[in-house]
Amino acid sequence: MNTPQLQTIILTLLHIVLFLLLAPFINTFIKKVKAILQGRFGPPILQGYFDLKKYFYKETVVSNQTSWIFLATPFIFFTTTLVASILIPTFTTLYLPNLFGGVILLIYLFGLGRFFMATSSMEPHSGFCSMASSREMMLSVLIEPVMLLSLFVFVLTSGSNNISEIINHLSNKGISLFTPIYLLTILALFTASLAEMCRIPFDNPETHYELTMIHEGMLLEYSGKSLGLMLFSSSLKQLLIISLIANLLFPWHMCNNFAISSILLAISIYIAKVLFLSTVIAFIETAISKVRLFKVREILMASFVISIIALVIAVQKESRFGL
Amino acid sequence: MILEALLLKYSFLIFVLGAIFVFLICLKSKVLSIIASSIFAIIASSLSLISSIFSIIYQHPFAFALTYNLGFPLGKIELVIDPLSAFFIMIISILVIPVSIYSIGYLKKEYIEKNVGILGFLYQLFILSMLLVVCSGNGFQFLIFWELMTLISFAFVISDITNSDSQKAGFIYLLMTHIGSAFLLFTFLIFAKYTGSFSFTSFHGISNAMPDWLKLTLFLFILIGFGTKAGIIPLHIWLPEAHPAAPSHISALMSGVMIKTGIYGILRFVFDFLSPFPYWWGILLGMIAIITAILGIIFASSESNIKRILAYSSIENIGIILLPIGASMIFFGFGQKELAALTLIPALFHSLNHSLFKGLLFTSVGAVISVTHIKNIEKLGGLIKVIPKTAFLFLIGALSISAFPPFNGFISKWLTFQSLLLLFQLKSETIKLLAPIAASLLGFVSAISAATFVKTFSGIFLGMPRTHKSINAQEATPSMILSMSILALLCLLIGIFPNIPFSLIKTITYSIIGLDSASITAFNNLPGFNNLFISPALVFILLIATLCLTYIVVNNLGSKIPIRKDETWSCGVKPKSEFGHTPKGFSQPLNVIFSELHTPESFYHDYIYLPITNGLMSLSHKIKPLQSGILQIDLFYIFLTLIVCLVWLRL
Amino acid sequence: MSSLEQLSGYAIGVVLVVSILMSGCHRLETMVRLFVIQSFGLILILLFAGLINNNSGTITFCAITFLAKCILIPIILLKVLENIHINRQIETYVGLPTSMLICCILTAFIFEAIPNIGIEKEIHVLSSGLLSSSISMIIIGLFIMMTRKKAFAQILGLYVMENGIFALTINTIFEMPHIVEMGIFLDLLIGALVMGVWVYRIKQSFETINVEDNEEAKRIG
Repeated sequence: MNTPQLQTIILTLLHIVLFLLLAPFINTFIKKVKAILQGRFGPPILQGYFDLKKYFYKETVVSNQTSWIFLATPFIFFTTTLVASILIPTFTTLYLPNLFGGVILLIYLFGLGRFFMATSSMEPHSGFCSMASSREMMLSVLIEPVMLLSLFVFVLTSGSNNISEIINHLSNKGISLFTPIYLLTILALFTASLAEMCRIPFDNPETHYELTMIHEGMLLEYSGKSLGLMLFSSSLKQLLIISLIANLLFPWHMCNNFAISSILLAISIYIAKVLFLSTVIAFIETAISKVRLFKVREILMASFVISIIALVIAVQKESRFGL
Repeated sequence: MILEALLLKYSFLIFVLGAIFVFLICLKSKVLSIIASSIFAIIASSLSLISSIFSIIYQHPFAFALTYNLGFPLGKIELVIDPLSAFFIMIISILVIPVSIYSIGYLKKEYIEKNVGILGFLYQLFILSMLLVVCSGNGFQFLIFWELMTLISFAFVISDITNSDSQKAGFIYLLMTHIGSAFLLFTFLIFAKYTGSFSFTSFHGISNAMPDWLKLTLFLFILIGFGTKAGIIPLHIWLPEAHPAAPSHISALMSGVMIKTGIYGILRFVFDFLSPFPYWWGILLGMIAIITAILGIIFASSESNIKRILAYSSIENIGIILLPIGASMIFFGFGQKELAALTLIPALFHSLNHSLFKGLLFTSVGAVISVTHIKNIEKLGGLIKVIPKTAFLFLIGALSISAFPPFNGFISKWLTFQSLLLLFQLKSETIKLLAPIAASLLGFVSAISAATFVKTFSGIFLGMPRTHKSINAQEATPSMILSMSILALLCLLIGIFPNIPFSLIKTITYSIIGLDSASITAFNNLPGFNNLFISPALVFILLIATLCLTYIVVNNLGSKIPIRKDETWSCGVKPKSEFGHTPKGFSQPLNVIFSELHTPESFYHDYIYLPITNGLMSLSHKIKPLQSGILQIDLFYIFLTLIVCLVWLRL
Repeated sequence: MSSLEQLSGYAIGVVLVVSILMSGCHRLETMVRLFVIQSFGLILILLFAGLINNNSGTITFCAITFLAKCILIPIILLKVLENIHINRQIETYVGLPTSMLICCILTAFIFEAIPNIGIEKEIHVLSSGLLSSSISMIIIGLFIMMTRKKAFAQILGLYVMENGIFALTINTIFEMPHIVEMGIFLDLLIGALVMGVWVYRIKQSFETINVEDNEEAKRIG
């Protein structure tokens, strides 16, 4: 086996391990920052890992109305999220395998996970689960066009639908990157991502009242290992989206050679980016409250319009000055 | 005669013989007749499948005339098989084979009381007429086969004649398709006026002689004519009526391949007979396509009748097929033929995929209906415990149609996205703006489609049964399971190895656009498609490997306490079947969100069809006094018309 | 060969004259006889056409036509006439001499018009006279149907029209499949039977076969 391939495999594994290790931490980190902002003490910083361990040692109880789909869904959700993680660069853009599909594959892998989650939560025949499932699918209908359109603006301005290549292209621009097109698109993408990550103002992941939950509501009937895996996948998905936006916002300082020092540097810069963005999310969650369910449409429509405006500017600019 | 032509000829002969034999055998034994019908159809369509695949691979278009000489000449049927026809022969044959296997079990279970001889007879002729439509090389004969196809499918729609719903469905179907045929007849007559013959070979390139307004009129005519068959909104009204009324295996064929003959017609006319055309025709078609897709799936999301959901979803998929055709027409209008060929690929690819997964969905829904006799999903539920195999196969169909990897729907959706994004290369601000928006709307459509199929799947199979009928169901018969498994396997295989159909379709689109093989090398260097040839098999392997790995790791980690089953938590009350959401309740948030878009079904009736009907009625009231009822006066009108025609011709 | 063409020219003339005579004929029995002559003339033309083109298949076809048009149909029609006991038929909307005149004018117009329209070039025509006379026969047949009040005469008008179509098929003899003409024969034979029964029944029910009176019957019924 020649070296570039070996390097790719090693770095990809490192990349996945990084994701897996960081995911529960980021979840707790956001909670902690929020707690501090709200004047509370908050959970210990490693609470995410403790929770996972707790779930994995609990007994699994499933509803007697369920079938194999209910038990398979946590695995499928985790799998789709993990495969999607290969598409999103963390600390390097050079060494990731070039999967076909790019952003579209990413969106549809998320969609596959969501499909199974929504389906499985219809299984126990519980009013809360099925309502959450119905709302989640409604939300996904609104999220997908916004996510796709804002990602397409990146795809079209950089000429590739591979996220690594988009980030490379952005990083080559230097500080002139921060054009109105770019900022508007990021804004639209970020808004849609908040919904995709099930965060305020679209969904409240920390409520204890079933009727207000969307994503968490679907997990009501899960317990034990299944619940642990579901929660772990959710936090993994959240980390994926945060890293996507973080890397689109700060596309610099990616590791581009196979030296231990540069890899370590790139990893620490990456973690800093992610922590920064998580803090921003925590700030947003503290500042605003969850909106009514059907108000969500207006917010996402607004971000759809924002990405259309970004597209209009991009088209105008290209036809006047060339890209 | 070359091998392909010979195979095709024998395939047609077997269909005709099959029709007669099935009818005769039915006089002896019904069961035998069902089996014979299926065997004849399988043999004949295997022959035509082989013929079409050879014809695509070796890429020599061939024409031949069928002359069945029975003492005196019966006239001859002109057939021209080029790659486009061959492709449609291929998708018809691929679907017919599993559907025929399915029909053994299905008919035995559901229709054994009825006249299966007639059903089998019509079944053979129906497939034959679809095959003849796509290989006809003569406009006049095309219309005859087109009408034959319509009439036979009409007979299937009204097969349950005692039901007033199917009578209504049959009437709407016949009426709509005849309006479509009328427009087609006009189109053919105008072409014949310019060429002096009905032969398709003479139609080619004749449009250069036509004025622009006439070409546009013809384009609109074929959109109406073929769009009625394909189900473009607002000409779709027959689809949700006719599909539920027909037997399920026929619904599979109607939705899977019959409506594709409309796509065939549009492709044949636009790229073959009407080219060159201005690029904005493509924008027009693209807009119609996206409207069709969005409205189709929104209707589907709020439906309760399973077969109507699938019918509306067919309308949506027709929109998705037409979208890349529009993109391709834009490139063609700009003279970029390589890109036009490239962007046409997803249209054909999705036609193939749609026929597979829609066939799968209709057959599995047919199985559900045949075991429960309920079409309303509000009354089903919990069937995954009684018919797990059907449930699993339906799930695969649902995943494919919602375009999730690693199934085939994803490949064609991905290609469609890619074609739309390619439009950004053109030097037109309108197109640059519209193309990404259309692409994101496509994402929107597939998200609603996923929501719809979550609703449908969970409504039929999951949770608690909502009526007692669904508890006593039994698993579908082995032949039904076998045929559904074949379709499901094909969906998966195309999703994993799309390169084989892709390369077949690539040669077809090249011949449609009229490019020679020299430019195929240029094709591979096009930007944006460089990732295409990395096999999606990798994604599949990754998914499966991760799944297995996760399973092993999770099972060996943590507690070893076995899984316990208990009642669903419902605030301390014993769970009842009323507790969960009904499918209607599931789609209610979507309906609220799209309340503006969600026009009631009567909208088309009240605002489009009723004014036309009223106008026609008042016109006929005005003409009525002319009709005296006296034979001689009526004859006098004819006489006068003849004389006037003669004088007019003389002048 | 030219003598055959000349002969067929005479036959065409005879057929045309017979058609015009039929429009001015007031005895139903005579009309049936004239129809036989007309059909025989057409069969001769077909035979000559076959001989000119060396097509042996036409002879069998001629035989079948002869059997149908010169023997079977006339016999049925005469039988019907016998049954309903009407021979004379004077009731027309247009006077008999006038209708002959009108038919003459129409024929003359058609003979002038058809060669100038130029359709002979598009369909393979034996001689332009045949094409014109076939169209004339269709028009005359229609005229007969239009002006007569008796249902029986209308049937004969229909047969004249059919003979016109038959003459047209002779023109396109090698393009139009004969099976179509065969089908028309069958229709006509059955038509003759049905109409015979029909006319007889009308006569029995309403004591008349006058179509004008039948209009009243139709409206009441």
